[in-house]
Amino acid sequence: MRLDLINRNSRNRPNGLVEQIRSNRKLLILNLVLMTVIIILTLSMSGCTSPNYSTSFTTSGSTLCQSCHGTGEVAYVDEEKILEKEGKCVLPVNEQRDRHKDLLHDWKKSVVRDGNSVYVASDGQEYEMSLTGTCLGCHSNKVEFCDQCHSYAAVNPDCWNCHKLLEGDQ
Amino acid sequence: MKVDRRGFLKIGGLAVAGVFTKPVFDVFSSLRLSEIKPSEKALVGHRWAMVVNTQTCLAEDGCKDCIEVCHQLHNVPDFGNPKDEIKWIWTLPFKEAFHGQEHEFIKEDLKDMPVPVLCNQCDNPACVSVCPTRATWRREDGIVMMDYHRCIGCRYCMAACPYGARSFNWSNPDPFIDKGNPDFPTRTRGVVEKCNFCRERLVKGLMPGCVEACKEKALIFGDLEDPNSEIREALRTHYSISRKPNLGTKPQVYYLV
Repeated sequence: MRLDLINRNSRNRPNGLVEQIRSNRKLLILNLVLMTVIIILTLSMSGCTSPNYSTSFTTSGSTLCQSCHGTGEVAYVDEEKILEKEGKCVLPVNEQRDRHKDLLHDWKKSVVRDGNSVYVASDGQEYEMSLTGTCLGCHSNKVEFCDQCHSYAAVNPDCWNCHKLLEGDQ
Repeated sequence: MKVDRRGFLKIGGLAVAGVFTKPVFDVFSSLRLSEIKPSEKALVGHRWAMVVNTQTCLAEDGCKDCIEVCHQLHNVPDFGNPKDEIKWIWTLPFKEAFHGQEHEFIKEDLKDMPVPVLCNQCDNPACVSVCPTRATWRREDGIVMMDYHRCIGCRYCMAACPYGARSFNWSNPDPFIDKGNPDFPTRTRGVVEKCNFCRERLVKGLMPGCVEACKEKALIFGDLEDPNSEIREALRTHYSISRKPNLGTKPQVYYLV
């Protein structure tokens, strides 16, 4: 009895916007379509972390990417410019972009605190854990490699106060 | 067999999940994680220590080889005045280095003889117990290490160290570094520094810079836990003293007199 009463009451109550949408089927379909579009967009954005991300992005950043990553010209520079020596990095480019700071922090901790000095990459290649030796050995152009992104992102890491390049490179 | 709606959905769900299993397993089976390990070339010790043979040391004749090499290797600045002086290894007259172990009538040539002194890498380091940020600590192998990243420049360790082995950068040391070594980091203003027993050379399998630089082989570096080591041999066959042993810091730099 009571249930009936409540149901009847709620049915009779004017329900504003929700009720209007329910009554209008066209609006409902439009809503569904919009939701689908949003979900597809979100999925394509999360594709930024996929391995294809680095290759697809460096060629030309679409407006969608630029909304997050800024324009490619400002945020990232040509790979050719930043690599002085031939060789592979300790991590894939896309991973380095995201978490090189974590990697450097881990290296610092294990070198200074734990006394370890060798990093074995996932492909089995061994590297000495050294910012000046290993990292800057290949990426010696600090201005174009490090500073460009850091100034774009408005971060001021003080690594170079102590870990310096050779005098000529500074 | 009759399949109801509930059963059909269960089977269907499992089948769909199964389709996605293989690619997931493929990803994980090809994944090899990176790892961090100690260098194979590294010299491994259980209790690093040093012996200074004051009889063969040529500091008396003005030899500064060990000091120059050390300070060049570690980018130690020369501020040019004793107030700001940064020193990792330096010399002191015998009577000052071994205060309390000399007396009025001690052998005349011994009294003012300059003796090389450095951080004693104590077994019971006073600097470590006072450091509020754990920027300095004693490693398993006996080296009293410093993490410059973590030093806040409070100078408690300098007050605690009875050997004056720690120096403070009162201003930016960069302009005062004569010939820089890019393989070793410099320090910044407001950071304490000291001898690290050439930790960075030990991992490369090299002896400390001062030991290598000494022409007279007056500096002996080695592992005290190894009974056959050169350092144990030197301590076994010679009379040796250490600096301020009564303080209980258990210094690990020994002097043959």
